[in-house]
Amino acid sequence: MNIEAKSASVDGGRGLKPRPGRRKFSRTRLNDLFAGYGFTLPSAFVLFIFTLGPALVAFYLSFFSWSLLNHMHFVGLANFWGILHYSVFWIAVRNSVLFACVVVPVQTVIALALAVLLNQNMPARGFFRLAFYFPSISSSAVITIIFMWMFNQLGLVNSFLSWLGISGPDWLGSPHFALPTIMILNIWTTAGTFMIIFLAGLQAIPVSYIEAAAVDGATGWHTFRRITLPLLRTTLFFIVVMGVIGTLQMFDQSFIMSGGSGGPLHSTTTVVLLIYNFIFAYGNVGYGAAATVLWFIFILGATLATNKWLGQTVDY
Amino acid sequence: MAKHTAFMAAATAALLVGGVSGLAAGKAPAAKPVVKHKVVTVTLGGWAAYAGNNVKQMNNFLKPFKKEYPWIHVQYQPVAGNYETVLKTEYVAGDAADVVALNNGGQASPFIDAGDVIPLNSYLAASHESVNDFYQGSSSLFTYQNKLYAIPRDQDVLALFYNKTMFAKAGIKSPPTTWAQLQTDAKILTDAKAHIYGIGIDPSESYWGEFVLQAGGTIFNATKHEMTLNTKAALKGFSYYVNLYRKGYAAQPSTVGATWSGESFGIGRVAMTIEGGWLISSMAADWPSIKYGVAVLPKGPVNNDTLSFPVGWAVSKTAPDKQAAWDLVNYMTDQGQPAWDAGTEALPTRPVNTSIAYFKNHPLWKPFLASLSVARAWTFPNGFDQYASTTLDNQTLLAVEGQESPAAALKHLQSAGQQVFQSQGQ
Repeated sequence: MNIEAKSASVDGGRGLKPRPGRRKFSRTRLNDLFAGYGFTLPSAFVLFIFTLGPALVAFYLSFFSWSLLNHMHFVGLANFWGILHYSVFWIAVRNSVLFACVVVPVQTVIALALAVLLNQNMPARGFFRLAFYFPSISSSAVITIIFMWMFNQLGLVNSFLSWLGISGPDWLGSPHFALPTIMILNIWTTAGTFMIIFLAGLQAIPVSYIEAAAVDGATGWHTFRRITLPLLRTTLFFIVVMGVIGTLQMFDQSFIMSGGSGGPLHSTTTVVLLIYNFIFAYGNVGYGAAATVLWFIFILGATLATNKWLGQTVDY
Repeated sequence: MAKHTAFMAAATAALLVGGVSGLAAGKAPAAKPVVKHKVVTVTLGGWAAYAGNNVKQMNNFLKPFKKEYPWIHVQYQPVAGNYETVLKTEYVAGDAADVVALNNGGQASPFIDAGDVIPLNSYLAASHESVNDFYQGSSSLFTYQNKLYAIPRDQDVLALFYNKTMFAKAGIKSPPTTWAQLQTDAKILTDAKAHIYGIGIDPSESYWGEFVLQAGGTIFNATKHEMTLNTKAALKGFSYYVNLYRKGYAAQPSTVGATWSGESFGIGRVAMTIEGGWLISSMAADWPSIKYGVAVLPKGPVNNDTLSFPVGWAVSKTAPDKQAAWDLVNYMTDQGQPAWDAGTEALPTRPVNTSIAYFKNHPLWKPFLASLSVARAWTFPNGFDQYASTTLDNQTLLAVEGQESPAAALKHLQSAGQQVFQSQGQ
């Protein structure tokens, strides 16, 4: 700011109108530019090679028929036509959307509750913060395998249920319970991460607001509802967007629990697992790429919708 | 003319063999040492075949080969993880190994169809060997249009494992030898209240295909251009399998808290299971306290055929020195086979190797060896990846759980398979 103001005043001294184009490329500014792009270059390079590049290739491949091993040939929109008429794709879409619709609200509410709880002055606060965060930093594959033991027909969960007099279901083997099991697993692991982010958001709220509300006679719930929650809006937005994207892209837990097949009876087939299988297992790269493009559009739409709902800035 | 050349070659060979005796133990192909060989490198792919220190054991296995072919430098590059997926991307990138392993269950056909591996008949003939030196159940898997695209290196077949303690407790003296006996025994051994079941057979076609064969049916026709699950025999075999479940004598692995039927058997939740020889090493490693025996599969209405799961070595189209690659393949599947079978605990693909010491010292393998002559390769044509991995399993599960009749499941499988063939015809 300072530098720009100075250069403007020099120009002004000569009686010339400051030209934004010139100003932009003043030496210091140029240095800043070099430094900025220079430092982001390695990340940008990685981003282009490993994220944007493959994404563009996916768009390209969605117009071709290719099994990885044969010669690819252009088929226009046939892959899109095929995938939209393929029943398992719609099962996968339903599973993914259902998964997001259950997991995102539940994990957000739990994360918020945990964060509010652990933001109080309570004993062993540090221990609980660590305990709740721990699942998030463990390997998702390892946790999935532990869950498979806990949730197997004769496992820990069903033993507990039978102790309560309930005959537990075959969590992993039944088409009705396999996806809910993954939902539970996902909520448990992700709530911790989001709790940390909520905690950061909570600590950014000035205590004076809360104190002022208390002076005005607001109850705990009122303070939370009228002060804390609105001020957490940006944090909430971030968490919902990340949650929606993350759940719609769920792959690893389904892959491990079903051994890659998305079974039993497609009940754990998510869109991303189907895409993986199309490309690497079924030798149908075009279908996989077309599903990728469709799913990109869907996630983009979901994100924009979230933005419209939660994304406005808070005015006080 | 031909005779004359042959005579000359034989004479040269005789002369040379005298000169280099001691180089190779026993079996030196005639003209090999004539030329001063340029040193070549052959890369060897495949998934980790040995347990434990894979590379070290592989190098040990290849030591005699290196002695016999000092100019061939073998570089072993095992693939960790999803082998076929990695191999496909390697062929796309053009850096697949010169010698690659091809697996059963329809995993070989995409590579053969795409021409990524070369036919080996001429090499086999030049080494004075023939396709008939192998069990038909293993060589047929790699044979397409009368050409052999991989040399079977080992195989495994399904047999019946039975828990001796549970059998004794139930008063059953010997393992069942017929379908009827199998069902009766399974009934006696089942105690559903205690979560104990007579038999565990995975709800997957690689575990029920043999029942179709035993009833006289097949999955595909001989040329693998048509589904044959619409026959009475196929329905008879599949229904027998499904009924073991519907009557409550059989349990899926997930019902007893296992991930596969071998585990159900190992943790003592099922008294019998139909598994391959791989279960022997799992039993020794994970469940050594279970006393068990192995028997050939019980006889169905027609025969007691079993499924075999062979693996072969193939030569990549991209291999720069195909002769050297062949020499390696030939060594591994011929002279090297006894050592390979003993080291990896797998069954031989050549009848001549069934009498090796390893199997004599490990009598549990006897029923497996006895099944080799009636084993048929478990495989699918190209394009059946999805069918094999999901369609078959889904329909099996629906039938086993009683949501669909065996006839309806087979009808669905028949038409879905025919659709795959039709879509390829386009």
